[in-house]
Amino acid sequence: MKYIIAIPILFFFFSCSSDTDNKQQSYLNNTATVQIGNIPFDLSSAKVVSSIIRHKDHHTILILTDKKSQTTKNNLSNGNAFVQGAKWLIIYWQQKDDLVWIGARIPGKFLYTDLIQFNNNDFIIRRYDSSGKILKLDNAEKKKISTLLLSAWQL
Amino acid sequence: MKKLKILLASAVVLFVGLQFYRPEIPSPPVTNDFTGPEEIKKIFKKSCYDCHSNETNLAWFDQINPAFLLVRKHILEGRSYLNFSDWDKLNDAKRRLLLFDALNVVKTFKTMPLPEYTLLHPEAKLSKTDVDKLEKFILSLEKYPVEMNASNKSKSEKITGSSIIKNAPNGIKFIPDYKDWQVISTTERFDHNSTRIIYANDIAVNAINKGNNIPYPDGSILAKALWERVTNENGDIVPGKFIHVEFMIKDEEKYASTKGWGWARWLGNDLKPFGNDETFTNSCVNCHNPVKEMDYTFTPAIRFSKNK
Repeated sequence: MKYIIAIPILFFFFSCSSDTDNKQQSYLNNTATVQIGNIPFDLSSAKVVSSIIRHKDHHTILILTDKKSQTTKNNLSNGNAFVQGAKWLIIYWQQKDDLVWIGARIPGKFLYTDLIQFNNNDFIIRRYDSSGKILKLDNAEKKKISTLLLSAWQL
Repeated sequence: MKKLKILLASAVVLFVGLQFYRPEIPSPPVTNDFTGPEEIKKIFKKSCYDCHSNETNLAWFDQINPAFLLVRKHILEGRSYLNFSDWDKLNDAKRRLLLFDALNVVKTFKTMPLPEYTLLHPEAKLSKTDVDKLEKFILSLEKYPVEMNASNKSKSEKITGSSIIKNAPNGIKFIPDYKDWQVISTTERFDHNSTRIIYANDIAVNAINKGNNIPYPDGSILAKALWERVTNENGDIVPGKFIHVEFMIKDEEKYASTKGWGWARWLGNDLKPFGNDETFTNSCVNCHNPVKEMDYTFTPAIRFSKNK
């Protein structure tokens, strides 16, 4: 008898238990969660450089920089030298339709991040996938990233 | 028994007396009607024109007070937001925006036509075929690709702001620090031709990271900055001219009358406060009301995770 009562009660509680998509508890874009992992970039001091939409790839791109690098951004946009140690982070998502507003698109699946570190008038680019693994970049891709950086500016 | 008779007699007198109170519903001649495809116009005429045009057709039961007063209120409010009889007075951008708004209230939120209206006017109900036709037509209005603007980089404007930025009409002060907050999403609005960045303060970010942001805790602040979309030399869409920045400040007690949020918006590079008086918040609340289940926020927040 007790099972007849307990099972429906347990079923009720489990079916109502929260998960990250439960609108009563949270309202999150889970597929877009950015996996920073051990990438050496301090998000707490990050500032937005630009937000870019690359329609031909259906990508949403967000460019961040650490606060220490503010002068780097200004120097870069003015064609001046880089500042030693400055870091930028470029985040890529697949763009998706916003289900809450027809006419809007928002970041969808998180794809990868590029970490750019400026050293001795040059920069090193590393691309990390969602598991933190470093991905190989060919010269064409590196060129694309440099073009993206040079076209970005501080908002 | 006598009291009941007096009460009934009073109600009858009041009801009859009320019939003599008939404020006007203006009916100016239609000179600038909606100019879209005929089949789309037919759908709008069937389901929207009674309240969203000067071609209002009142049924006999709409004309009996107090229903008449309620119907009149709906008509005046409806026309002030969207009047198909004023179509030529709107530019293409405004028309596109209003049509996307219409599509969202019809399809996404299903709040229009009003249920109380379709209850008495069942012929105004929209079928799935009607909604599909509306969606196909309205989505065809997307202005894409965005016109190339070779010199857009120099036109991309920073938020400058004068040295003294005025408070919003409801007393909320501008928060310049929002640009130091964490980004929780970006949005491209092709109906509005804008690109947006949404920032959140630490309290809101903590709630997001804990997966407990509905409702947002008191002290949470969300900021949304908007720019026009422009195409740069690489063919990418980037922020162009700055449009405005708006804030939602959570305080259930202080802002109880506006759904627990304090609303404020500053327009353009000179950051002029939006609204003439405190009633400007009505437009904020009305717009965000369909997403009350998400604590009045449209865009789902993105987390930045250290875990793999």
